[in-house]
Amino acid sequence: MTNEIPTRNEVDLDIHSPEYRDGTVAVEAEVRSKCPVAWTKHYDGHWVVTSHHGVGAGLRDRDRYSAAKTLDENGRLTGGVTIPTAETYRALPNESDPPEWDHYRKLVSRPFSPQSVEKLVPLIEKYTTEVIDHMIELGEADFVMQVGSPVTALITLDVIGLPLGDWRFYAERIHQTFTGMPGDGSSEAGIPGIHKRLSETITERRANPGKGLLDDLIASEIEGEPVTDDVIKDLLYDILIGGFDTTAGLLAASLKYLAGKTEVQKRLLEDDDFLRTATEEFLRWVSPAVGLAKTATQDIELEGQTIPAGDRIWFMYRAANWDPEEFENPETPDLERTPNRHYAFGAGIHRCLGSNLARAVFQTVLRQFLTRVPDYEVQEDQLQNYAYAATNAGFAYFPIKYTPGKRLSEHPIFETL
Amino acid sequence: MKVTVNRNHCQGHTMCNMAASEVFKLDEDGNAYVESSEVPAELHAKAQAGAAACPERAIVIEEQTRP
Ligand code: HEM
Ligand code: SF4
Repeated sequence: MTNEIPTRNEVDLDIHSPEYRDGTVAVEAEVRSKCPVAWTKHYDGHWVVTSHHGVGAGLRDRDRYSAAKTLDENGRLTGGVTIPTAETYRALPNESDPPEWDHYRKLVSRPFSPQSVEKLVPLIEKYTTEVIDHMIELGEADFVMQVGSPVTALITLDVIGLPLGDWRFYAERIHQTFTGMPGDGSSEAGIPGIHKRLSETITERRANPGKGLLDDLIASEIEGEPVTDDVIKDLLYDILIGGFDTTAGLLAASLKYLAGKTEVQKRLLEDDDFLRTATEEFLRWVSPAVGLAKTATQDIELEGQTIPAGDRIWFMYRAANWDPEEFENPETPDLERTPNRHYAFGAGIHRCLGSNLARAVFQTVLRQFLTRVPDYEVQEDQLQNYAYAATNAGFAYFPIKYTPGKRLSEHPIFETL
Repeated sequence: MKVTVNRNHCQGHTMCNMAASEVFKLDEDGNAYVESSEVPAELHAKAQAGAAACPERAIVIEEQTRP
């Protein structure tokens, strides 16, 4: 008997190599031009999908892939959304499959819907004013950890009902997961602390209920069974880890592009429709989420290629967002681009839960920052990108300088942030 | 023109609503629906723009042939 080996196009892409980290979109363009669905031998072998059509069609095919982590026959952890499989904690709903996914997603979706987020805007404005107050007199700051991340963190903790004073505890540990190197421990170091703090808060809240998503989760049921503390913890963990650095990175990269472009800045402040299309274009062009994995559970036909059941697939959102077949001159931001079917928030069932919140935070912070800190300069020679570029694009350090301004709020929420 | 949103495919990107809020409404979870699948002539272009904006290709437009 002969085993038929299916033909497949191979590329030599190591998603964690320094060449890819430094080459980013150029490497992705080269892979895409060779084949939009290709095999690479690295990390026990996996597929890479780089075309807009392939990423969309593949991720929409909800019945043929899995995002869950499981133990294989040798007792090894496999699957999940990273390559190689991360030995750390589970994020829900991100690392679950239907039908469990449907239950989890339903439990957390309401507070992040467009209607709910619209009601949150005054609160986002308040936190933005507060956060900028804490840096505006200084004349220099790290935009990511002194503006972008804290605003997102405060509004997220508020919605969940977690203590606002814990924002730095969570934000620093989450920032570390993006700035460290996975594998050598520097990236994962803060994650156990996050889970421990979440568990303690959940236990405490079972005894003394408060008001927030956390308390709704404690009171909720899945098919008649109360939701366990472990599931609540993994749901909250996903919401925290998914939002802070991604939103901060989107803001920082957009400010880097906008620095000195006073006419564009002015229009963003005056024209809401322009701000709306610009938001989508920055999402596309920056693509804070670069790529994530799924595992085929059945054979998948994609772009004329058969991906056999069991194979790992790396879906590249940024490569899709820079596909010239879908986007004319993808490398050049066109802040009025219409239509703009980008996959910055993913596609299919796992599409970002926080997309509406991220957009609202982005627009609120951009408006206030451009108004209050109009002459900001990015210290480009000191910028630090993430050391590890396969899953997220963002900044470990984003120093800016500006003429100091005045605080606005008379009753600050925090003495120091 | 007949416009429908395939609710199994819609993932609540809200892009259709941004492009054509007159045609595509959002429910409490942020998923799209149309109040009436019969879209009047003056909104045809808008409906098409909304459909083109959907990353999930969840919006189906049927051009009706005149009787
Ligand atoms: C610009 C900012 C953001 C970007 C670019 C982004 C990107 C993404 C992407 C690409 C996915 C899909 C992951 C996959 O296919 O496995 C996703 C899922 C998710 N995001 Fe976001 N995200 C952002 C902000 C947020 C915020 C603010 C939150 C907080 C509510 C959040 C929470 C989540 C959650 C919980 C999921 C998993 C959803 C599921 O599996 O059903 N994200 N995000
Ligand atoms: S753009 Fe598509 S997926 Fe998004 S809300 Fe509209 S119909 Fe649903």
